[in-house]
This record gives sequence, C-alpha cells and structure tokens, in this order.
Amino acid sequence: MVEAIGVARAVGNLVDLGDPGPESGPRRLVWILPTTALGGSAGFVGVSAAGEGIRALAKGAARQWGSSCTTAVLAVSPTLLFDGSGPPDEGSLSPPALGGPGDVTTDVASLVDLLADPRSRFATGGTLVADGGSWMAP
Amino acid sequence: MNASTSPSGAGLLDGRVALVTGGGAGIGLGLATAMARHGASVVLASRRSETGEAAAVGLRAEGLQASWVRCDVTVPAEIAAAVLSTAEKLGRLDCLIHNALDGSAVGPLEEATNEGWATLAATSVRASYDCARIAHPHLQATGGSLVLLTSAAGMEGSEARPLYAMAKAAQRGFAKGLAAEWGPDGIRVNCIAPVAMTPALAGAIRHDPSLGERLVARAPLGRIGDPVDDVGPVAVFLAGDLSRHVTGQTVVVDGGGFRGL
Repeated sequence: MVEAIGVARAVGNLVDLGDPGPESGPRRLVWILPTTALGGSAGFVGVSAAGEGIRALAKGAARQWGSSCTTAVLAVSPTLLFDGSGPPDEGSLSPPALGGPGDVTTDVASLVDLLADPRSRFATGGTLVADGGSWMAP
Repeated sequence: MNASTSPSGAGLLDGRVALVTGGGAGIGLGLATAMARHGASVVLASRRSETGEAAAVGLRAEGLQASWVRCDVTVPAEIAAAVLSTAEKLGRLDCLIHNALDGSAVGPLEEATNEGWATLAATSVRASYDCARIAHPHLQATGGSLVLLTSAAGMEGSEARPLYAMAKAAQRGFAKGLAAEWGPDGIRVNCIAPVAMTPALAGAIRHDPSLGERLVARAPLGRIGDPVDDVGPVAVFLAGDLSRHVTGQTVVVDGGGFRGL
C-alpha cells in the first residue's frame, strides 16, 4: 500500500501542475488488482487487505482530483497476476460464464486500453471486474 | 429500557468474555457497554488509564463486569499482554473487537507524509493483524469472534481523508480474507462500519457544524447514531451465537446513509 500511496502522490503532483491541455487529454490513473481484493482468500489476507485499501485510495483520489485526473481499478482473476503460488479464483459457486479467467493479451489488455482512454473518464473511482463472468459484482 | 439490553432480560452474552481495544471512550466504550449489559465480562484495552480505568469503574457502578488493561495497539507485546491477562483472569476469550485508531493523518494525498501513514497503518491494519494472530488460539478454543471497526469511507473513498479510507478498506479486506482462512477453525471475522455520536465526532461537528447537518441529512433515519444503543447491539449480535453462521461481512450502522454494498 505504501507503493500505491507513492504512485498517487506522484500523480497528484502532476495534477498540481494544472490542466494537461486538450492535446494530451485528461489524466487517468488505473490500478490492476486481483479479484481476491473483493472477497478475500484463505492464506492471502495480505492480498485482500492491500487490494481493498488500494480500491479505496482510487476512490478517494477520484473525489479529490475531480476532472484533473480520473481513476479506475481493473479487477482480474488472480491467476493472471500470480504464479501458481498465488490465491485461487473464488468468485462464484458457478464457473466463470466465459469458461475461464481469460488471457492477458486478448482479454485484459483491451480493457486496460479502454480504462486508460480519456474517453472513459466519466467512470472514475470505480472498479471494473474482468474475470470472465465469475464475480458479476456489484 | 435501553436498546442495548435484552427485552427478556436474558443476556445474549452471559458467560462470555470480550476484549475491546480503544474501549475507554467513544465507539469502543459503547460496544463494550452494550455487550456488558448482555452479560459479557468486558475488558477495556486502552493506552490511558484516566479514560480506560474510569470507564471500567463506571460500568462496574452500573453492576456490570468490566475491567481495564493498558494496551498500545502499536506494540505487539502489549496486545499479547492484554490478551493473555484477559484469558488468565477471566478464563477465556470469546470476542476481540479492534476499534482503536490513531486517524490523525488527514488532508490531500499530496500532503500525506510517510509518518502519518505509518501511524495510521500501525493502529489500523497492522494492529488488526497483531490482534488477530495473538488472539487466534484463544478464539479457536471458544469458537469465538473477531470484529474490526471499519467505515463507510473505506467503501466509498474519502476526499478529505483518503488515507483513513484506505486504512479502513484494508481492514475490511483483511477481515474478508481472514474469514475465509479461519472458518475451518470455527472463528468468525466481521466488520462494523458505524456513524455514531462520539466525543471525537462531537468535536469535529463543533469545528464544522455543517458536518453534523450533512450526516443527518444523509441518513434516512434522520439522526446520528448512539454508540451504546444503536451500534452496540450489532456488536452483541456479532459476538454471540445469533450470528454463528455470519462471517466475512460488514454491517453498516449509520441510519442508512451508506447503502452501496
């Protein structure tokens, strides 16, 4: 979480520099987290603690910065972020609607593009869950 | 009759033992009072005897079972001593409520200092971890309950107190993970997110009268809660058998102001 605060402070310093101008568009800060943050997982309490903390940081930053810099969180399957020693998928009793956690290149990267695009700035402070339809939350 | 007492007069927590950090005043004392009125022996853990010991004396004057133990939650050895003395003197530990917090780190993110975050994290996230690991064997022995105090700010973020919101959210994430981990041990882990009239909130409202107006206006129930009679019963519920199949949850007790879960 200390690193997340450091990132937010660094971005906040950019925000203090003023409007980035029409050519560069509004600034956007996107965090990528495992869905473990949403529900917790046995043996990985640190992951859910840090994840929920960063989600709240994204919301607080969004409220503070307004249109100067918008934020978003992308929550993906933990199997995409950790090696075999990471937390498992625990979203739902049912399997993911799309059959699996997805692929970083073909499934997740496009959503990072979407969230990083200034045109998505009106969705600020929130979390987009991209896990193939496991959590379907909220 | 107070809302924190049972209509039947029977205590929902008869024979139970609860340790409450930050129990000398405010929300912590409110929760402890409600639990004691339901029959629990409560131990108020706090740094200052002038508040903690006085609060315990006040509860005993009411005929309740209460004591005080010195505990700075940033010092694991003091948490361990508080837990051990509770278990030794009262024979068991059924519920630990971690409520203590030094939330003085306020203001914009760019002005946040590492020291401010360190203090906040030490009393919230780190202390939750220390309370949990130290209390684990005692709670496992009784099939007990760990309760962490969080905030709606942790769920919706805060412009004025972004790091406070972050710490409170982290505690909630910690509780969810720990609930999954400790379920097989028979220990439940839940959170309470209250808004109640404490000395701290009263002071904040004196400083900013519009804060009180905003809190009241936001709550469909139209008032700021009472630590004993509004928030306390939720602690009684989470500490007792009525919630035996409830774990990993956050109960928001704010008169309906936050409805986003």
